[in-house]
Amino acid sequence: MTICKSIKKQMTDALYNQLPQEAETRFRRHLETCAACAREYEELTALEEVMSKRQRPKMSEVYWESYMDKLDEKLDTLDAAEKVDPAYSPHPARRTDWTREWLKKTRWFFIPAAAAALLVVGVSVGLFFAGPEGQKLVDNTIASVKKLSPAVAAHFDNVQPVLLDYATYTPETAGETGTGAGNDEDDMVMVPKSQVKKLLIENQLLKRVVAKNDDITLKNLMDELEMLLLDLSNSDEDKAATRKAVQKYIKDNNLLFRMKVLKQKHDREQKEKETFKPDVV
Amino acid sequence: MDMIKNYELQLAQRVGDGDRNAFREIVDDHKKKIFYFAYDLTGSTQDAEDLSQEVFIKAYRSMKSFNGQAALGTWLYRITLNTFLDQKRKKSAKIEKTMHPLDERLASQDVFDPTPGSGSPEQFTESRQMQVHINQAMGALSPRERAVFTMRHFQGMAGKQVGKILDISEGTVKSLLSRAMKKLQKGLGFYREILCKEMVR
Repeated sequence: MTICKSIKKQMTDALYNQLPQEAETRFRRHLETCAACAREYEELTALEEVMSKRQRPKMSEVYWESYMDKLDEKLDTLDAAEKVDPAYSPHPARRTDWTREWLKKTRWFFIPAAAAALLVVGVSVGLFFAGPEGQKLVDNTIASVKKLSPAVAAHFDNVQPVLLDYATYTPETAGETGTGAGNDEDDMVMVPKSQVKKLLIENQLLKRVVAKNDDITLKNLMDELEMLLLDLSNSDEDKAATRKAVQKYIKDNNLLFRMKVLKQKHDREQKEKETFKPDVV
Repeated sequence: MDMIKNYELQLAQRVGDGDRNAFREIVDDHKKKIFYFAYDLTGSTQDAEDLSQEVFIKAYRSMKSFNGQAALGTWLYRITLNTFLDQKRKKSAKIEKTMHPLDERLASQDVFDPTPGSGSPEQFTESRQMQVHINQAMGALSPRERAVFTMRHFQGMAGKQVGKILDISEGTVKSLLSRAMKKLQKGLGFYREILCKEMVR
């Protein structure tokens, strides 16, 4: 029994010809005398035979030539994101100790503040369209939200039209008769998958920069956008069910409104920078 | 060996100083190896591309920490494994539900060379179906089991080497491999029975 236990432990090494010579000889001799071990090893060999038929896909030369171009693009995007937000260095060593200490000390403030901001944003959905009071509330919300980097703002600009296409789509506006005579081809939003894929990569790269700050509002929004883009890139684009699910997701999570709130702050700051002129002496 | 080591160290230093051309050289030398390793781990070309590119981005960012103790290729393997395992850990159940099963992505995207001798369309379909089943069975393994099995079976690494890269004992490697093989035997029972009968004959 003990010998069989020891032989079983050696089976994978024997399968991959990695047993030392002497051990191999003892192993083979045992299999000749023990039907149970022989059967078990035979099954492992059969599995190995099946797995050896597994093939790897053949990638074309064109694909390999474009591989580095794709990598370059991603590195350029990352570099651009980090240039506008030098505080968010990917190299922890570059951060000075005092920055780290400051972040540690003030974390207690930003997390509850961000949570409070989320609550206020949720409540202000109806108020936003209700006039000056609503606008004041949104302004207060915006004030509590941290700075939006230009790279993230640009990403929102890129994502927004896609979300709007889905959010505002109806079969009637797309030209369907409304009598239910439309087919699947009519009932779809025409956003190319390649565009969605590009936005997804952009989102995932920028998330890494966003993850380094304490802005939970922004981080959550980026996570939700990622999920949506992931679904869109994997979905069958010509199915009405997909379109409806996406519309519901956008609506339930107030994605467009939340992006708008965060962008307003950024746009306001940009405008202030452009109009500010230092005194000429 | 020293010549290669020195060369790799010099390349790494140049990349650390921001030399993209040096980085391109490293990518050109290793992209196929890392891509196919990523494919063995993930089971789809799209995921393999994403994972391998993530690996190179990480390598680019941390090239200054490469000290030449291990070969550059081994270092990249380690990054690939760690990235794969990290991704699996971080992926939430919500996101996983939106992903298509491995087999569907395989069927729609990947192109394989026809198996030798599989000239007829029926044989080609059978071969393709087998790839789907194999990938499905691999999908049932835990990330660590898949990593160990991939390195042992597809990369031909010794148990000791696998343990070193994954930072686990050889005993744990054997245990993970054994569990992986039991699960694969269960998932590919149909093919196994056919093969066993053929072997008996």
